[in-house]
Amino acid sequence: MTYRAPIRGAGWRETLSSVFNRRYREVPAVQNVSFALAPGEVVGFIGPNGAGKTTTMKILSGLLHATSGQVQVLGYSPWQRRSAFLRRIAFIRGSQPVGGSQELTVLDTLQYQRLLYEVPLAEYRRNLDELTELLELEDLLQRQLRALSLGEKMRAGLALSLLYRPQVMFLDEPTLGLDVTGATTMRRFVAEYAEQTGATVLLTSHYMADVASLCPRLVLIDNGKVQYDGQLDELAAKLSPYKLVRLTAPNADEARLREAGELIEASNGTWVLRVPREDVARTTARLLTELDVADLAVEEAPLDVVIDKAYREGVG
Amino acid sequence: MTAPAAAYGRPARVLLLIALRIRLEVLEWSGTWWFLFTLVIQAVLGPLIGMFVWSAVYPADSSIATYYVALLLVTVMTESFEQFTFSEKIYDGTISHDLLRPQPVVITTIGTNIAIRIWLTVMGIPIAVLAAFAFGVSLTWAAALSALPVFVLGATLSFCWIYTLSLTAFWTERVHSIVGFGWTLNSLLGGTIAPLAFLPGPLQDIARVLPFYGMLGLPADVAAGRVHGLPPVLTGLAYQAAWIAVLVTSAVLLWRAGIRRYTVVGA
Amino acid sequence: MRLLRLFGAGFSRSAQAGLAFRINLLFDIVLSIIGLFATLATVFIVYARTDSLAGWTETETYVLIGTFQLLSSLKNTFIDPNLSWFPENGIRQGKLDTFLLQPAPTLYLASLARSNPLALVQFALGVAVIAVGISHHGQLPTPGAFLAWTMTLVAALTVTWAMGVLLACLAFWAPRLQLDVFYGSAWELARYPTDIYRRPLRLVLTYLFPLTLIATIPTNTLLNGPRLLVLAPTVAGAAFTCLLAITCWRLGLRRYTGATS
Repeated sequence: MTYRAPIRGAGWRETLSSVFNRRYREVPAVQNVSFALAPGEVVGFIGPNGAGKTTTMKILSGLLHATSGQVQVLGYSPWQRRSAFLRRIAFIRGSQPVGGSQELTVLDTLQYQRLLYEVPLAEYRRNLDELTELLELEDLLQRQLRALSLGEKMRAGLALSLLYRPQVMFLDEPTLGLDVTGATTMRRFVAEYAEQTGATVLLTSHYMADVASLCPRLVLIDNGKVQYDGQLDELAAKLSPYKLVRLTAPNADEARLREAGELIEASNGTWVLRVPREDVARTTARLLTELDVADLAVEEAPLDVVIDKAYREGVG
Repeated sequence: MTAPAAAYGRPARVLLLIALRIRLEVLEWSGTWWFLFTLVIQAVLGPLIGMFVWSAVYPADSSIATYYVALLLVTVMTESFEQFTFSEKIYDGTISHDLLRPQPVVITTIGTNIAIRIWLTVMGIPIAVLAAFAFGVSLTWAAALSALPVFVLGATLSFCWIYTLSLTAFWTERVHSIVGFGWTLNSLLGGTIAPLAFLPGPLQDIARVLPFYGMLGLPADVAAGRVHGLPPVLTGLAYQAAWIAVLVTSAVLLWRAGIRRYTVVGA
Repeated sequence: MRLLRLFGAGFSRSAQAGLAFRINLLFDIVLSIIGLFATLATVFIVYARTDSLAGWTETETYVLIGTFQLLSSLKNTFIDPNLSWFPENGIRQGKLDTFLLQPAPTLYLASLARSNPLALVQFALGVAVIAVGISHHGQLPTPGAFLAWTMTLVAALTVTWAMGVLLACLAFWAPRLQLDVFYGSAWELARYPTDIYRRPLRLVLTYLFPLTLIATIPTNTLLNGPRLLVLAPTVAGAAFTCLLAITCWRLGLRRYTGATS
């Protein structure tokens, strides 16, 4: 997928000449991105800003027509945007949770959606009841869309999209701007929906908590190319050869701890040590025998740190 | 407009603040030339249609076209959009920023008003020239200059009128309809749909007393050389001054009541 | 069929939403009446000075104004809400994406899905003015004239929609252009018989930007009976404009989804 962007030099002379003789630069937004999703898979699609995530999502949903390459979703070519295809997918963007008229109430919009997507009445009632309960929509139904808070809009947007039971969901930053409760509700709901209906979900997010809690598989792209495609924990292992050992030992001697591993945090008798992955078992055994340990836990490095490393240094 | 100028400083300071505001706004609006152009087109439409209609009724009378070209200029030079520049700030709550500044809120509004007028004038003059050329109009400099006093008061009057209407935004969300209503009165009684002299007798007498003629028709009539002698001009000036006094008073009262309501209810 | 159901659903929801604000409704009705009276006053003022405006008598002009009111009302109700929404929201804010992903023709969703039913108040006023005009005219139009009048109105409405779509299409190439205001301004030119305009402008209004069709041609048809020489080109022109609009829309959409900036 390449964009054609006009280029223009600085200064008046350049500006004028560009009016008559416009030059373009081919900007590749996505190149050689290739991956396949099995039905029912929930996949995290991550990458730094400008990596080409949204462009890829737009191509997959049919909003953009790729300049080259092949795209198939549910056996359709998305860019043709056939009705049968559109009725089976949903593209939910955290930046625009609900499109359409903001003056209408949520219930009005849901009913309109039923006509638009030709959902049979019985199914509509059943789905609506279910969504109302799961997303706690009861109080929102009679309110105008524009009067909803961001979190409420997101819930309404989900209800609008899931009313017709899409088989493929593209979620672009679904937790953008949501508070902790909102984000948790959102995640739990997506997980439940995917599990119950066997829908395929592709999700982008800058919040690693979304990805960590929802997606066993990760596709990481950068500069329009796939950098990693595989299990989340493998990526962590690959990128972060250390684990964190957190222990509570009020009477421990700091010098003693420093021998066991790199001390990266110390407060009130709680210590965090960075220990090479292969030494974790041996080190914890030693700490437990040598010190008076009240509590001990072994943790993966936070995903944020891992992903940040992947963005900056690439996946080796 | 909230309080005597003394509360904020000397009149000179207020003038300086307005001047600075105008400069800032002129620059700010220069990026939106397309939008300004749509405003110009909307503004010139009434006078142009009037010109076509009355030129069809009196094909031989060239003073009609002269009057309407002058009216076109007066219209673009005195357009007021406080329903956008002011009322919308009440609706979206951004007026709170202005309330926190150590200067009367109306200074910003006046600055924006004059800046837009400057842009509209720049863009409207070519249209006026084109119309004047097409209809064989000759405006004389002497007549145009003699219209300066009525023009200045007329321009002030139209600002006061639209600003007063815009202040109703404190109470209703329909300020655009209200201003639209004001605009209808303007074009009906101000000399746009017909020069005042063509209105039927009683309507003409009423229109002469009401403020609308002073905003549009009077400056255009004087500039087109259709007013003979000094007395009618002086009468016109007196009416303009009286209406300005009335509208400024109502605007102050509305502002005080409105801002009380706004700060009590909250944004 | 499904489109009609969608249209009906959208319309009735907008109507309900509009009726919920009773004060606003009252306001709009009062303003429509005032606006209409201002227009009628204009006609009255003009004909106090003359018997014929570019060949049109006073009663003929009343019928013309009523017809203009009918079409303005339909334009305000069905076309303007979409047209004014499109460049700013649809293209610049990318909300057209929502429509692209819905399983209904995008052109329908973008150009007809919104409506402002309250503007239909003007429709009733227009009918009233036409009735008054015809009763003063002295003779009732023949059924044939009435039928032909309806036909010209449909053609006019089609052209109104198609021109709106064409103007909106420009936003695909130049997103900053917001032309609905110009459309609204030019529309006002149709309020009077287009015969009052001088030749170059009149030709433009007849052939290039056919505002003659809005009021002048239907009124002529109603009052003076149908003329094949007017009707045939009117219908053909409407069909052509419609096709042109659909073609441009498709091209624009192709550009939009091709992502050339």
